[in-house]
Amino acid sequence: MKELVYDGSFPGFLTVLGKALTEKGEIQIWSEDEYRPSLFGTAQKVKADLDFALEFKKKLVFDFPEPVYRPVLYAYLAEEEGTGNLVFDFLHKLKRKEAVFAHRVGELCQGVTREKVRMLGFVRFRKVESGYFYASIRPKYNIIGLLAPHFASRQANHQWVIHDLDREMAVLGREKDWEIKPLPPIKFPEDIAEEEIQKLWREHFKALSVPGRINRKRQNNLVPRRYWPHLTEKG
Amino acid sequence: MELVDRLKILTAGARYDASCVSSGSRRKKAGGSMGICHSWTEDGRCVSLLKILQTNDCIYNCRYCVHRTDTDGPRTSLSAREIAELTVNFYRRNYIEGLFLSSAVRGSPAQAMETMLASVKILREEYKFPGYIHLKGIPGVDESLLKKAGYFADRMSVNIELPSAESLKKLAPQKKPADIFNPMHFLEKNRREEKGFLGAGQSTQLIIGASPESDREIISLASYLYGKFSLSRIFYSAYMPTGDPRYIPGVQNPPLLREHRLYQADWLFRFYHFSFDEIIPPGQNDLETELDPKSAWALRNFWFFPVEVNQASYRELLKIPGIGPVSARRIIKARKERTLDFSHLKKLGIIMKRACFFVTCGGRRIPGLPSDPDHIRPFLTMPVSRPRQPRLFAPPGGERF
Ligand code: SF4
Repeated sequence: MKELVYDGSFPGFLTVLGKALTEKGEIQIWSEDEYRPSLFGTAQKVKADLDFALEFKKKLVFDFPEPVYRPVLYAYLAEEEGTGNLVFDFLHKLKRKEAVFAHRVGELCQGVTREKVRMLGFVRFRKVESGYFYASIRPKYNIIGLLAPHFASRQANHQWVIHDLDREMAVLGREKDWEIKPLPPIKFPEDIAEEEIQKLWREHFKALSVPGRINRKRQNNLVPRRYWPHLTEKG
Repeated sequence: MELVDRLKILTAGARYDASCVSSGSRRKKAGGSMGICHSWTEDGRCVSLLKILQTNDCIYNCRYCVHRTDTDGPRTSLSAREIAELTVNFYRRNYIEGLFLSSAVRGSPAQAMETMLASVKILREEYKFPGYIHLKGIPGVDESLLKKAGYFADRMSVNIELPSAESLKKLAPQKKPADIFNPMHFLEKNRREEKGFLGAGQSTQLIIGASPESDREIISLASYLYGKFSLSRIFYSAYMPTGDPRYIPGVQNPPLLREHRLYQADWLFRFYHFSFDEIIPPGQNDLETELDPKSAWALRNFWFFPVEVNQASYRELLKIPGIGPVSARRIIKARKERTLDFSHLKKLGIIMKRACFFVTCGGRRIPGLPSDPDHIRPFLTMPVSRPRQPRLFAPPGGERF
């Protein structure tokens, strides 16, 4: 059995998958963090190769029965243990035209999509003292990069930050551009007008409900508890 | 009064309005995608817009309305600047995708409309607001005001509210049919002539249950309206008994189930290629409450069935209870590759609990099922969706029946 180990980055991920698909025999793929040396395998490090990765990305779009770049990316962002092996299995089967009905990669892709779509609505910005708009989130999956393009066009006329507190990463946006940078979980003092505006929003939100028709269960399904701490109206 | 108190009153005043839907904005590119739900209210409705009244101070006395001159709740207003600032502040914080602004008639129709216009003008011109704006058109206003409004707004709605001229006369004596239909015609004309004018179209609303019109009359009005105007949609709003009981007696609870059935009928009309007579046959005045209108049609027209899913046309598939536009298209795609059997149908998302009575697969039916309408009927009425939450917005997109 051959074990391929990549550096954990997305280009590294694509590189190792691209290489693995050309190999014969049994193969396992691990990121450096996941890899535990085993007695029988022969581990081989695969260095991230940007050009190769880009080439392979094209293949994912054009060389498969259906474009599969998105499921591959989304499965990677789900950050599940053993994603490398999962995605390899997925692509390997597709290549050999085997049935991939109800594959875990598909599930992960759906889960990530769902969280992304939800988050487009649930991100709550607060104006902070230095004048930009700051939002903290704790998503289950690593989705800030997926949120960025939407907010870059939506918030084009001011600076904004979306901070993933658990992964200690943030997207910083200004004008139409954005970049992802590490950012430790620090508290940013709020602008003085912030409290008043948040209060107005909370009151508006409350007044929207028709009294006597409260349906907590439905509401909890629609807005899962884990998102509440970051929602202004639930504060 | 403090801003926050006025906000509370004017939000509560707007919440019975049907329309959380925002789609098809011409500003899609500049403003991000529409139809994002930012939150859900305690009663389970999607929040995507700041939905508010400019004022609840009204010179009219429409009998069905909480804001009529007869009532003595507190009267208040927000200034154009306040509306604009609230909207921008909420938008920047990602609380909302846009504004849904409505108003009572303060002073005169023109004056009320002008204040609303001033609000959206500040938004668009001063704040360069890229989000979605839905503006209520006030009956009886001048064309010049409507024209301006149409440039600022993505969608407008002039609400018909009462489904007949008679009821309008009785319950909203100060409004004339022409006050409503002229603006609708005017908006329609401009929309046809000019690209970018009201990019997301116009809609309107009918109140259900405040006046004696039958479902037949309401559906016939709706089909007329869809034919005459390119309406994005019609909202049906079950009457909340907040009006004047001397004029609208005997309504204890809003007729939510009836509202729901009308939405289903509306869908059959718009997306299922049903004709008016198929939805409600000649001689019948109201939709069945017990059955959804599609199942009701199927049982009345049982000769049409069973339909062979491997051969039926798209329109025929749509007639089968349990199959909607999405699953009908899936069937057509899937059967190109293989002959479909019952297990395939399930995987394609067909609601077999309903469809099983009406289909054959490769000439075969599922054995043991009843095959006359009277015996099938109880199976179709079983999961009658209880009148759920007030359906202040239409059934969700994927609904199949
Ligand atoms: S004009 Fe509008 S706000 Fe005024 S009473 Fe009639 S429906 Fe109500």
